[in-house]
Amino acid sequence: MEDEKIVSPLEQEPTDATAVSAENTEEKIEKTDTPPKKKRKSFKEWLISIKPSKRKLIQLYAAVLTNAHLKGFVTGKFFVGNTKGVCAPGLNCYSCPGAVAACPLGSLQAELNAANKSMAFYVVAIIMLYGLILGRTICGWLCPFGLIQELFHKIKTPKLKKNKLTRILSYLKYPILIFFVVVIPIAYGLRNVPLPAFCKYICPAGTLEGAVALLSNQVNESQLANLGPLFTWKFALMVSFIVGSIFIFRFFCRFFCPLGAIYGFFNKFCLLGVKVDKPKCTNCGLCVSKCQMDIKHVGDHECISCGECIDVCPTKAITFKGSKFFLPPDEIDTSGMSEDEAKVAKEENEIKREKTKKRAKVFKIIIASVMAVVMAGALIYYNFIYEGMPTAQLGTDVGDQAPSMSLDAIDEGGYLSPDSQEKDKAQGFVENENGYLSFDPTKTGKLTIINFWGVWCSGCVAELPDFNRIAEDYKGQVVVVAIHTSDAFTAENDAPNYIKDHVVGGEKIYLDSEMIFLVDKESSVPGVDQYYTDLGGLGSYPMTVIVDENGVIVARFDSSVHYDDLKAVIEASN
Amino acid sequence: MTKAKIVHLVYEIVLGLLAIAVGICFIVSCISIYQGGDSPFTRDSISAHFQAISIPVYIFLALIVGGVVLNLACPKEKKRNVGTVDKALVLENLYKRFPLCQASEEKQQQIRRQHYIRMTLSIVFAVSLIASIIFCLAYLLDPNSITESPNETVIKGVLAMLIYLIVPIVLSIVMVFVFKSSYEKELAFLKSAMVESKKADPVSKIASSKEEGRSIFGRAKAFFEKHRKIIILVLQLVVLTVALVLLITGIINGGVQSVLAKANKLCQECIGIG
Repeated sequence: MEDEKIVSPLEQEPTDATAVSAENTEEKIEKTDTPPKKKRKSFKEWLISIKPSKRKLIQLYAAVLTNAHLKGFVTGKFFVGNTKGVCAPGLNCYSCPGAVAACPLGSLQAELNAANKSMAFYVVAIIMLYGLILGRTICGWLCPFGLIQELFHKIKTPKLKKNKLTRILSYLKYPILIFFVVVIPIAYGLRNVPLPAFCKYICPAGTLEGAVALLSNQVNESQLANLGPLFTWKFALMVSFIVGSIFIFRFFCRFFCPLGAIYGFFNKFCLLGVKVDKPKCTNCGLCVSKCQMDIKHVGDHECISCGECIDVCPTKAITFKGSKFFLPPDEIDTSGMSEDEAKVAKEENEIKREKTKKRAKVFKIIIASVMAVVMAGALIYYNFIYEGMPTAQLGTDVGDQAPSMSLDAIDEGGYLSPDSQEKDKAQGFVENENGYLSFDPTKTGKLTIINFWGVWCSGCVAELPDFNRIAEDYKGQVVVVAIHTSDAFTAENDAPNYIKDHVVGGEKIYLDSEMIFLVDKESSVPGVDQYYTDLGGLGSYPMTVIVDENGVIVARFDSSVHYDDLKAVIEASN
Repeated sequence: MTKAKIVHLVYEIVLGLLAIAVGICFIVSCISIYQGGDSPFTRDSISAHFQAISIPVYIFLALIVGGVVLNLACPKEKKRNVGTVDKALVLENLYKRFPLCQASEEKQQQIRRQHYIRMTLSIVFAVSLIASIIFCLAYLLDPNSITESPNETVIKGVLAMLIYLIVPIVLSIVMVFVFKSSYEKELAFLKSAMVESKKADPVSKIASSKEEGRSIFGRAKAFFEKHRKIIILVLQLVVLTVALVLLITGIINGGVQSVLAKANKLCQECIGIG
């Protein structure tokens, strides 16, 4: 029909993109869209075909760099050090034995949990900067959990392709972000209950990289006793996400990841990522159909800038932002020019192309060198120079003599003054050089239960009422000591206010409690406490050590304990 | 279907079923360990339970390796990538060349009916979504929703939000199918209208369609497209400024130490060890 000769590709209802773009770039369609002819590959050709792409290599690089403390997987101990004050861009649990940086989502929840005491300026700023610079390019290039999902997706099973329904499902991550990452941590933070809800109930990265990786090491065997319904739920969820990833591309990323939801807000105006040159775009739809994410158009909030669409675009309308500095300019159209003008124009264009190629080569060399140096430096530092988590100098098993240390005593008013009546609770109180009372838990002359806890630790605050009950029930027989982490006087972890205000069952049970509250001292490693380490702490809280009247360790729990566990030890020692 | 395709298809289905079976085995094993009683998770109990499911796991791994060999011996044909054009976009461009007023009355009515169907459904969806969001917010802001037991709060909260959001979710699914069918019908009506009518000079028609008052939304879209670069640059600068101010404030307030303190100590329950 005459009409169909003058209509643009959009006015057709194409079933085959070849027909749509044929008017514009027939040759290019031939190159990008023709399926390869079937033939048996040689082993060499097969090796070349499975060579990882640049993106896969960068993903692997990012995953190794974020978890550069490789010896942690062997020793079973996670890294403690200053670099954990910086958030990694992708989803990588800080409890992973290899992790050298903090998780942005975990840090955000922890800060929001303390929203009534301090504002999460630092973490929000870091996330904003990552989002502004990279947007969801982080998901496509830097996130270790994204890499894990893509590797599982390579297993050859029937795949569920994206459709309009998966597009609807992709909005599920926003309610998850609002409810689990924002509302619950803030709501419970106002009640002084630590609860990073997404980490605790959903995050598969924490289960896989943290829980499973840590607990599979023999060193952490004592923590297996802590596993219960929560771990069972999270393990089942993790397996479901992994199996889902086998059938659905980036199953967790697309439908559940709140970090992807946050970075998606920045996608439209981030500095790096893919972009579409609208004048060149013919709206053939090849990019959208090639993409495995639920995008409506390239660069929207679901786009992870993986670049798969760049190769299939017949008009080369899709490029990475900033790539024009490194891509050679196209051949120029000399029609309409005189012979001399055409010759000059072609020569100038050729010079530009050569310059751009040189620039790209130099840039690649510089970037590759910097990346190699950074990786080498990180691997050397975290595995050979870093001495590892501080460990106890003396034995800390059952039967060993517990080390003694005088620690500052506190109550709801802060440090204890020498005339405080708290010192009537047990022997072992002395006046320290600051004029306040200190207490040595091994000098009580009675069975002493030493619990290490923190206001920020949900397991610790959940079990503390049981210690309080033991102290009440065995008053005079047993001394119960609760040692808070060294940051007891920070705005977020205000231990005296917690003792004063915290309500359990409608009662402020820690006011006038029989328990003795102490504050640990910080060791030479920031964030690691001295007495906790001296008593064999592996870095995780809570921990309980029970010593007899002579200061000999009779029991230890590297996990949560209950009233009955403590009662059993007390009865056995009588 | 070629022989290679059949082999690959059978292989993929078998591997897929085995992947699901292995996943179920892992979950069932974990649940059965948990049901073992007090402190059931010991190295021995875990080893015993997972040893029981080792055979399907080994078969699964062996099949994965087998798939590599299969691909070498009998390579699978890659599927041709076919572009799909958004029908709404096709219609938008057709209307530029052939405004609705040129179609016959009957065709105009048929096309407008499709517009009304979509508009009505969109309005109903928008209203239901707003109502659901209001109910969800009311629930979340109600202090009674946050109980002493976090587990109870989370379970009740998820159920409540599912109940409140069920209507917009169902409506959005219905919209997918209704819109698809509606666009197809409208496209068919418009094309038949184009064939039926006698076209006037195309240039003047395009000019008049441009002059027919654009909606506010259309004008806003055009403004944004025209000043896109400047708007994005302003947005980048604003976000950068806010981020830097927050960063400096956060560092001064001890944000780094706070993150460091929490990251250097492991809260077991916080990562699901509980």
